[in-house]
Amino acid sequence: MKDVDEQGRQVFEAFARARIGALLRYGHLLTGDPHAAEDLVQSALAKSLAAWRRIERDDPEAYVRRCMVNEAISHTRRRAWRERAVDVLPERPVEDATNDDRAVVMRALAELPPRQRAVLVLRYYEDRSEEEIASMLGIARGTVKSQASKGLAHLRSSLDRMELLA
Amino acid sequence: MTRDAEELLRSVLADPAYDVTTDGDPLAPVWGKARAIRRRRALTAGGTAVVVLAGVAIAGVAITRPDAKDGPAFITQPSPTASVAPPSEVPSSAAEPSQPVSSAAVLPAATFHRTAVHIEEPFAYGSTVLGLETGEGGPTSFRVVRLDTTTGQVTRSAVVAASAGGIAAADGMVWVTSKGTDHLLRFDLADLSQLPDLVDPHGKLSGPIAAVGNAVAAADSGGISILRDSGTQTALPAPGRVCQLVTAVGGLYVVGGPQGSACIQATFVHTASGTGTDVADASDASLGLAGLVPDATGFWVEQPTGTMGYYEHVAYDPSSSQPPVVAPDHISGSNSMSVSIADGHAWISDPGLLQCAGSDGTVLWHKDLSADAGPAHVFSTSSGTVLVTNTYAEPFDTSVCG
Repeated sequence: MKDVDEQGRQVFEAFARARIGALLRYGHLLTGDPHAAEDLVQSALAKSLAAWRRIERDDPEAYVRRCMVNEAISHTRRRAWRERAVDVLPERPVEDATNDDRAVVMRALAELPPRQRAVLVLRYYEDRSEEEIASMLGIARGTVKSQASKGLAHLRSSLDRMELLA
Repeated sequence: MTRDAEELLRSVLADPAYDVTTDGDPLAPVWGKARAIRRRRALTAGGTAVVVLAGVAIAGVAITRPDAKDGPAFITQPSPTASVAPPSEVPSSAAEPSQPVSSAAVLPAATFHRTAVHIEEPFAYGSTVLGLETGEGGPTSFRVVRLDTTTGQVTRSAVVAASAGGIAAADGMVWVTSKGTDHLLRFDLADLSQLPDLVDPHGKLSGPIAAVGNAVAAADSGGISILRDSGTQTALPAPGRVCQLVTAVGGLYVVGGPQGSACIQATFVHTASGTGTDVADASDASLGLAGLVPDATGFWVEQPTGTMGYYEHVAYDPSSSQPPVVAPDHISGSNSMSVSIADGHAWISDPGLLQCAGSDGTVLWHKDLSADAGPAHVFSTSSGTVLVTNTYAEPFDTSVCG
């Protein structure tokens, strides 16, 4: 692997600083945890810097987002049934959260596999087209459709159970 | 008011509450992490080059004329990648393996079908490998998985639990904790058929579980309970929060910490007396300790450092009064590392990489794995030694570790 030269590093840093806010928010929506989001984004950016010479002329942000989803998937596989090292503290008391749309939707979203979650976030938060999502996640357009459909069905069913939908 | 899921989702996702603000420069850790990635890739490239050069050298000897004076040029002038030296800041444990890298580490047998497996945190038991699999429903959907190590075939059984917290095998049964309830789910080891649940009288189970002879130790709201099929229970002292229970000779390793904190300490608890000895502390109290795996001379424990981490070996004999001794070197990698013990060696994997290490923390051998293999484990079972990854299992020759 060839190192990035000083000019490449500057371009990378400019890209990272311009996009880090959006990436952190994307990470937060992917993981449901702002601290995990920070970790996820930093790892993805580090991998992107290591591959910068190869990716800078294409679509570096797509590469970063793909890294984030892959990392989130492998993290879920590894940690799913084990205790996490640090408690994820609720943002507000549980008794309030049960009546809060946001908490209920995020809890339902957290139950989805990471790729489905990523598709929904890109579709319904960033308003990305199916083609863009397919490119960003490195999957086929048909997979985007099926993942969105499955994710939405699961979300709808969870919300129905929680009686949030009329 | 009628609302649909899409509308609700869109409005929730747009909530500014999900913006992330950071205290310092969020890019600051990126540079260090990128350097670590480069070091690991350089190490792997160096190892691969050794294999290539070894093959070329053999071919070169075969085709070189006896009267050739200087030998083949490709031996005397190796490619730059072949001589990649570890940067000086790399711990000696991550230096190039002292043993040559073998490309013949995996020995497929005619009767063994390389098969798709997705076993999370597997462990060997008798002639089989057992584990949990996260199902389509995500982290709340689990199945018990058993791998037949003579054929590579996988059998599964649906787990009824809403959330499986841990798995262990004892007394002819597979035990699975139903996290947040007081129910232990049990399956017949022979066919994975479900048996009646056992109820923990000491309260709700938090997840961790380990075999203790013909019983299991499970973390619950009362501490740690040793539960038997006969209904006899024993309570053991425990820290406020139990994160991992690990079976060992004469007792249990308990990884835990105070309530609300990370899993900052490992303790050896003698099951006969109920007494405990602290054997390891987290290097970073905010991150805690991760996986602990015992071996013949002590245990390996993972020290996370964010998205990176390392495994260190601790020499410890619970039957002696000697204090635990941490090995001088450690094995660095990502926080997705795992360790398994087989044939007297520690097999440490990072996704895409399998390493064998000595108890002094030095890497003795390594091999690249396919990128989608995920964590890899090497297990010695009564029917042979197998390499189990997230995507396949196959027979494995542990002699590569010397």
